Amino acid sequence: MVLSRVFDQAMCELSNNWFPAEGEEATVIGAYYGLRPTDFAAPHYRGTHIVYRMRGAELWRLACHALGRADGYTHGRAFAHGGPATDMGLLPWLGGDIGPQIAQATGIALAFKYRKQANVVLNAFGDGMSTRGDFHESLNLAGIHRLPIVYLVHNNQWAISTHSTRFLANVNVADHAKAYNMHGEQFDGNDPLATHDAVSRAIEKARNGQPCLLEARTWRVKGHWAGDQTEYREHLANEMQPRPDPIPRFEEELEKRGSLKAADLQRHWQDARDQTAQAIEKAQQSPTADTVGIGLDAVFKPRAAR
Amino acid sequence: MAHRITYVEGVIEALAQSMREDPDVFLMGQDIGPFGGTMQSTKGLWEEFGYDRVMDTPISEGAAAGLAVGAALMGLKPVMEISFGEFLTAVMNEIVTQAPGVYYYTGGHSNCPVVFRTKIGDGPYRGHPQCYEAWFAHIPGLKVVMPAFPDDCKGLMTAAIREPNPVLFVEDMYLYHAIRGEVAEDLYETPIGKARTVREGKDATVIATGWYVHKAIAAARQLAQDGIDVEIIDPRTLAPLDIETILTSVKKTGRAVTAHESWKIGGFGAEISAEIAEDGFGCLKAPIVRVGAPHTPIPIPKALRDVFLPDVDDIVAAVKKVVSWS
Repeated sequence: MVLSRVFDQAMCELSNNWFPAEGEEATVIGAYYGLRPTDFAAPHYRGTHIVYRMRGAELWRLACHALGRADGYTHGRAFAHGGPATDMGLLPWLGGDIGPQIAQATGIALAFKYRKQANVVLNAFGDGMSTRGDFHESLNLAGIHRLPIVYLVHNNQWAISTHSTRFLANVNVADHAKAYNMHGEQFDGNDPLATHDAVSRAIEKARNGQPCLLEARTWRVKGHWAGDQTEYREHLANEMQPRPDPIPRFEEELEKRGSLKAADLQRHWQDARDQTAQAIEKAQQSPTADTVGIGLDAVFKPRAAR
Repeated sequence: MAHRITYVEGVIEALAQSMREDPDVFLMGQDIGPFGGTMQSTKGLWEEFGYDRVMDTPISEGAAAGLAVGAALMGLKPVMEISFGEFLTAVMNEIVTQAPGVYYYTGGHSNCPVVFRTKIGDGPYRGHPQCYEAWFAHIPGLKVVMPAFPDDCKGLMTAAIREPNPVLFVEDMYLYHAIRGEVAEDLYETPIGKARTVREGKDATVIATGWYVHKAIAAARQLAQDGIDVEIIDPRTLAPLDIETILTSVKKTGRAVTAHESWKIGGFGAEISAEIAEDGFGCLKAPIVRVGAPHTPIPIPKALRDVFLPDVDDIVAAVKKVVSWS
């Protein structure tokens, strides 16, 4: 969580198009921690970096995405939040629109079922996406075919500038589970242990043909994108329900349990800062895509000989 | 060995034989199961392959297309049927912004071997006639195939299934059950991106797609009586377009007419005309003429539809115009 926070803040400074994950780290890490290497991750665009990292991506190559450098996993062709693809068990980001990914993640679950593989897909997205037709159509399809998938809503209460009280008829997104004949559950997304517990149980249900819709109650600390100053929400101070920062809360908890001392924490933060600085330095040495012959070709995969 | 089968039977035969050959090939779409597909588009396939490989989907084209893209990302070969071309608007996200970018945006780490099949145009049923094929030829990363003959239906569908990139396979509703042709019984491929010279001639080139290839053949017969010898090119694939075959023909005849059922403005004939004008201007003896539908929402009842649709006479008049131009 500490590395996620430090790296995320650094990327916000490098790229105006980065989507800050500050405050939602417990949801991401608590959830994806329970996934097996053979399972499939289709993360929310907010916090992709840490899911990529958890699945083995190198931090400096992720920094290349924010800088548009050729050593990124997309070879400098795609989004700041883009990253490794299906060869690392990750759903690639193919467009700036949200909604198509939930259907694709559901299709990956369909592929696991079609091939009789006991793998699960964990697909996360925001409460803002839950009003898309893609969400309802995909949940219905997963419900019909009993697909091995866990849907995880980061309910951070914001769809860009609009508060959930103004875009959700029912702010409890997990309530939709009943309509699609799946298991639904709501939990404190700013508590990594509660998140891990709920998601792990859901993953096992999904592995046995019970799709699940989980809702992590969390809070978007920063704007929608790095350059977003969030002036639009100042007048809603009375309606907003910010949630406590998950990191100091968990640090206190660990100190209380005696698992971590203050010195360990300091070392932890310093280590995250060092790793991030090294990653950025290395990424800055990577060429931009156009200078190394990666350009506008390679649109189609060539046919292999039969 | 060959047999005489209809246009849609050519597609179905490619699907059935590909499914027998490759367990990764499966079908998704509305009413493709026990119902046998709208206009019998999947007749007999559910009986042989069952629900697991002939998957009926809800009225959720958008998400179903996303499921197909997701399954294709895992290396399966889904053929998703979109009952009618009119419903392509419900799946634009997946066909336009998602599947075509997979190979490029992932730096070649992933690819998306999905086939979307749909049917367009007028026909005995007269519903859902929209011909949106030109929109899709505009999109990089997507191959757009549009056969006019039963043997091309079979060969091109086989090639589409074996293609590692997304393909939109556009079938012509009028031709569905209306024409028959000799088709080899064994499984074979017709390469994507190669035009078919349907008729050789020396006076003018007509570049036509779908039903309009057959209207062009009828026009050529009429024009032959007036001593005008027409060459007909069926691109078969709109993207990538085999512009070489078209330019070679136009360089020979010096005159070009395009013909399709879709609207003339912004239709695929406009792209072909522009390519000829850019790269074949020097050999043109007359301006290019496009035959296409008027810029009107498509009327549904037959009487008005007949007025709306460009016909054989329009192709005849267009050819006479380019031949007599001086």
